Parts: sequence; structure tokens; C-alpha cells
Amino acid sequence: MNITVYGPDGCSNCTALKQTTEAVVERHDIDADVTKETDMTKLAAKGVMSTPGFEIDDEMVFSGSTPSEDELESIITERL
Amino acid sequence: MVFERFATYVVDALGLEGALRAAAHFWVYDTLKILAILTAVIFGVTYLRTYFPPEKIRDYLDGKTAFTGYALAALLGIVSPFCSCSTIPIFLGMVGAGIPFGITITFLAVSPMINEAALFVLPGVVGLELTALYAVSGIAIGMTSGYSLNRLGFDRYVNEFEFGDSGVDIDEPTRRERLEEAYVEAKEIILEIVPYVLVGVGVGAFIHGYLPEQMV
Repeated sequence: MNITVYGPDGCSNCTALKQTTEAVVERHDIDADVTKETDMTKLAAKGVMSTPGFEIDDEMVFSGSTPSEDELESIITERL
Repeated sequence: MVFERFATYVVDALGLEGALRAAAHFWVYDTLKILAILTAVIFGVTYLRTYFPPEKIRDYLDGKTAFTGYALAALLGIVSPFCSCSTIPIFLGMVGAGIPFGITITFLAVSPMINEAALFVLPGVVGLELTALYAVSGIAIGMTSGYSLNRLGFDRYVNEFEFGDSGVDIDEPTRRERLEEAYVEAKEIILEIVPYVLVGVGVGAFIHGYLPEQMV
């Protein structure tokens, strides 16, 4: 799967979200590419107004909030 | 008050006297008081904020023009602080939805400038007059910048942009989710500012205990 975290460089929540995502992916040995998109016009083009945006395989799953590691884990694993 | 008694208890227990006692009492009492007020206010404000996501603000502002639009944008700017990293998507989202350029700018200018938590804390610290001045000047600056950038035709620099459709459902969160969000965020903010409060009140305590009153 492809996971994209949308958030500019200065956004600490966005950076943290990417790190948590990578940790979850690694722990479950999931075959996923985790990338970060810092171009905010790309986020807006998806119709999202608040960061971070979290996308799995072209589906915007949530935005504007940072779920806990447990929540993130179930969000990712239920899409496997 | 319980903080007052606790501070007295602490300085008594340490056996402090004179200026050191006054300074230590001030430090303990004021640190606790300020942290308690900040915790209550930040929690309350973050809870309220869950009612004003940018998507909703955009819908409120839709179709408003002239003075009402600018005034409403400024007021909504106060209640809805957003992370500066969201400025670009919010701007594009509003302009894409057809909100007039000037009104969008007013919202973006006021939002980070006036902090509603500060509006609650400042009256106790600097007085009502200065707090009012802070709020009024912030709103005035925001409305003026929106209006003048619009009159100067700066919207010609905005590229055509197609704001997408996310498919993320922005369902109304439940009360529990709102409280959870407020709790998480309040905790984060308070932990971040504790050191500054300690140092700031410490400076105040030193002045309170050691500088002669004529100098202040």
C-alpha cells in the first residue's frame, strides 16, 4: 500500500504522524511506502483544509487531527 | 484559596523569612494560579474550537459581502486559530469556494493575531483596557489589510485553482471526541509552556521580593 502524510516541513504534528506511521508499518511488517508530501497545494487539490492529511492508496482517510498510535494502527491494519 | 494556603505551607515548611519568603511565596502561589487558569481556559477554548473547523468557517463566510463579511471573518478568525501549516490549504479552500479575496485575507490575518485564550487571561494580568485595545486593534488591522489588499487588486496574483473534493466525511464529532481532543491538546500546550511560566513568574517573584517598591 501507499501511505502519504501531507504536511509542510514546519508542522511538528505532521512529522510525528509520519514517524508513528513508519513505526506501525515496521512493527506489523506491512509492505507499504510511507512518504511525506510537503506541497500544500497538493493537499488543497484533494479538498482538505487542515493538516496533517493522511492518505492510504489515494483515499484521504483523515485530516486535521493526529490519532494515537493505537488508533493509527487499527486504521492501517484494517485496510490491509 | 487553596493555592494561597499551599504556598504559605511551603514557605513555612522551608522556614523562609523576609524577602526570600515573600519571593518564594509569590513564585509558588502565582505559578499554581496561572497554570490553573491557563489549563481551564485552554481546555475550554480547545473544546469550543472543535465546533469551528475551517470547512465550516468557509461555509459561514460563503455569500457574505462588504462589511458583514469582513466583520464576520474577523470574529471567526478569533475563535478559530489554526496551525500556520494549514494557511495555504485554508486560503485555497476559501478562494476555491468563491469567498471574496479580501474576506479570506481578513480571516487569515486575524486568526493567528488574536488568541481567544489570551482574551481570557489578559484582563487579569494587564487590565481590561489593554485587552480591549489588543482585540480591537487586531480586528482593525485584519479588516483593513483584507479590505486594502482587495482594493489594491492583489487578487490578480492568485492563480486559478481547482479545490478538490476530499471524500473525507467531516461528520460532527461526538461530545466524547470533542472532550478527548480538547484534553490531548490542552495537555500538550500546557506541558510546552510550563517552563516559561516557571521562569516568568520566577522573574516576577524576584522583583516582588527583592526590588524596592519605589523602583517598580
